[in-house]
Amino acid sequence: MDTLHSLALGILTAASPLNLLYGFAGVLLGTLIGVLPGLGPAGAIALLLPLALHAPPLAYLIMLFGITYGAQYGGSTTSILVNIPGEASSVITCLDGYAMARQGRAGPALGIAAFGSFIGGTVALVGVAFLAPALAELGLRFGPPEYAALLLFGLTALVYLAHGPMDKALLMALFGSLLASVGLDPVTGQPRFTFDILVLRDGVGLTPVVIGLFGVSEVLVNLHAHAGEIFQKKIKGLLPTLQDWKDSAMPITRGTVLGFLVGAIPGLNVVIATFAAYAVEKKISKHPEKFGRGAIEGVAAPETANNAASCSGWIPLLSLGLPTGSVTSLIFGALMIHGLAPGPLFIKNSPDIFWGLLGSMAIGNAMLLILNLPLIGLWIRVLQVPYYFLFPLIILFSIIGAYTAAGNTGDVVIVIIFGVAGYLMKKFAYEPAPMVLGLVIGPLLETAIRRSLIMSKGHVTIFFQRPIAAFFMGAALLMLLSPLLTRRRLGHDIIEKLEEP
Amino acid sequence: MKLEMIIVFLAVFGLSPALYGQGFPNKPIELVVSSSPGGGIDLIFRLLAEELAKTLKVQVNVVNQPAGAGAIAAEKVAGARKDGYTLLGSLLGQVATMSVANPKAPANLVRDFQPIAILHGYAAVIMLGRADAEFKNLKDVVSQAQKKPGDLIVAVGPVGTSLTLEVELLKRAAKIDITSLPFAGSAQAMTNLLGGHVNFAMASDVAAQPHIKAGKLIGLAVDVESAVLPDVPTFAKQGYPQVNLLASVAFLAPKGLPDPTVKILADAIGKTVEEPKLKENLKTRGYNIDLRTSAADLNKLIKEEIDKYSRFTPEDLGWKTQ
Repeated sequence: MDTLHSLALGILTAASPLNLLYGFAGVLLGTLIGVLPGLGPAGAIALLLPLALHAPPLAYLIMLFGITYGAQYGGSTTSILVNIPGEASSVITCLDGYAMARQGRAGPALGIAAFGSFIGGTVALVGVAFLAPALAELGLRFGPPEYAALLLFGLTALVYLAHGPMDKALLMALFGSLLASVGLDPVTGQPRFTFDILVLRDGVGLTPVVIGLFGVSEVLVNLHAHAGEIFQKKIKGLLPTLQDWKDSAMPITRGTVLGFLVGAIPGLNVVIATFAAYAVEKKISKHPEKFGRGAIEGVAAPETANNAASCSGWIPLLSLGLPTGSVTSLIFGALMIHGLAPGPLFIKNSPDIFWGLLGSMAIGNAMLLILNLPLIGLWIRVLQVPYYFLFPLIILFSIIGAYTAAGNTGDVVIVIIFGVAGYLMKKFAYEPAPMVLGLVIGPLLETAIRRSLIMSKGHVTIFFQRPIAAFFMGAALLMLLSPLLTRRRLGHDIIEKLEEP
Repeated sequence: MKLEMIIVFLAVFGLSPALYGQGFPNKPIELVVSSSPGGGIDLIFRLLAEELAKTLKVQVNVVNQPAGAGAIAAEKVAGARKDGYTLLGSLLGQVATMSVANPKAPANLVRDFQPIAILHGYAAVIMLGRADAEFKNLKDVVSQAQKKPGDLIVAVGPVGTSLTLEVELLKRAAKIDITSLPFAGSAQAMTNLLGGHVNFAMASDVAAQPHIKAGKLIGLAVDVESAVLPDVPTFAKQGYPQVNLLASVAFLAPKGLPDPTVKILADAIGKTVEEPKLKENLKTRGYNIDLRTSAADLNKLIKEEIDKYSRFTPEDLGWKTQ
């Protein structure tokens, strides 16, 4: 009851005209940043940091928070319309979202992404209000061995990402992990595959690879197509139909829960939540073959999950004072400017800020829904822009986006290289999604395993002695072995392929 | 019409260099910061840049260029025009590290830079333990480590940072063996200490303070007296003066900057730091404000910095070339 009371008070605080104004500015800015590929919430917040000295603390923080979840709304827009993920967390939305757009169903895809985001964000918020301290403690129990086991379990999800041949998907995931090993060795600090090129010391960034692999390559593939071949001209509806809602209800529910849990574990990023949500839907779907060919579940689940995860991602920061990524570190800095040291006593010492922020997120999510629904009509007209205008614009935005993300010309080169690589991959039917998963999970898994082995002085038993690690190791084994029993799904493609002459 | 164009032409190409010399600064200054946006170092430069702009009455634009562990930013500024409009804002140790590891690199702290101002020991690195563990000070740590060489685990930062190197110095000075477990930074190291996965963690004092206040962690030693945790004794006081990689941030310009320009910039930075609101803000954030701008001081600090990092191999510093 106390929690509800505090939350209600928080909403009231956040509803004061000044806070509303800052909140609206934040979510609007967030949406725009989400739509632009490359530039992410971290870059935008960094630009706004100097304002911290002049703005009232709560209002300023409300704006920064608005940017972060606003970006999760906007990120899906370009994924669906032109196959360029606006944010890395919308990569997986490209698979089915863009397929839907090509079938003339961009409206329902954008609609379900907005509704799913709203539901995921709002439910996760209530979860944070009630469960933050307990979940924070749970998160602390994840040390390197637990991460390693959890990520290994996550990798088994890989097999559900592919809708083509499994061997090619595995090859791509391996290639992604290999690519992720470029740069400084995270444990010893020695350069790997850098060829003494300075920019490669930091590794191959996720953002430029994704922009090249999805956006630029899509333009190249379509260069030879005649107008009208790429998108069906007839637009079938602006909003999700009743059937769409029926199909999406459970994916949204599961996406919320999954996103919320993944987000609460420090160090797992939002991208992983979206991949996991997609994989779960495909696994339990009655028609997994529709995934990747415009299944609305494949848009609803990950878009819900990324909002839920970005909401619960605040738990480690707000209840323990531990920033877990670049965005949370920036907010940590912003709180420090105002002398509000986030730590274990933050909720107790600054309840007005904590509950005010939660309240603002409730209001902000509603604002975003109202803001985004009318925009759908506008966005889908983008698809009617003639290709000779649209395609150069996509390339232009891709390059600008890659550059602004880190102000690094090397990233532009990476975009172009992976644009061409993506083109060849499409021509030879290799899928990009497993590669992105390899790129995301590879380095996390590597550091987790190596740290674990340093802790145990080289004994592999560390992964099986600790309860949480042992649980996930068991689950991973079960996932890998299950196709032996069912012969369906997991190994289906491989078996089918082998049986071909 | 033609006359006007000639005037404009003269104003732009002919007269303006003379104006630059006299009226520095008369156009925006670019401050290239070699850290990612939002970190402690970026923040201090952003706060300073904003006040500096008011003092100098021109814009001071912060541009983050964290790629290549700061080497790209350093090269950019080292090769920039020597007119004071391009400055480097960096952790001094970062530039010292790359200069020590590879003296022939395109940007060398001693050869290519003119120091403008150094904020000496701007923040402290702290060694943390759990409040419920048996270690209450550095002595306990050393005696325990002597009994069980290699068994204790300390969570440190990335290779080449002071979070990691200071542990190496402690190991050398006390002749002990502790296992270093590298993480991405202070926050991750503390998370693993709070979760009980390691015995100690190295972190920044500001980030550690709330956890000490909450009674979860204790401070075992700091490398410089901390503004926010004055009770924690330094490594030196506990018998290990060798653990002394103090973090300093520096404004650096390309070498060969005219003396009057150096003076204008140094004076402006000195004035900026004294601005009451900013000073208060820096204090709240836990920064030590010990600004050095005299040429003698700056050269001494830079020499010390080079000497400190010369104790390590390029591998230790994370700058081994392939």
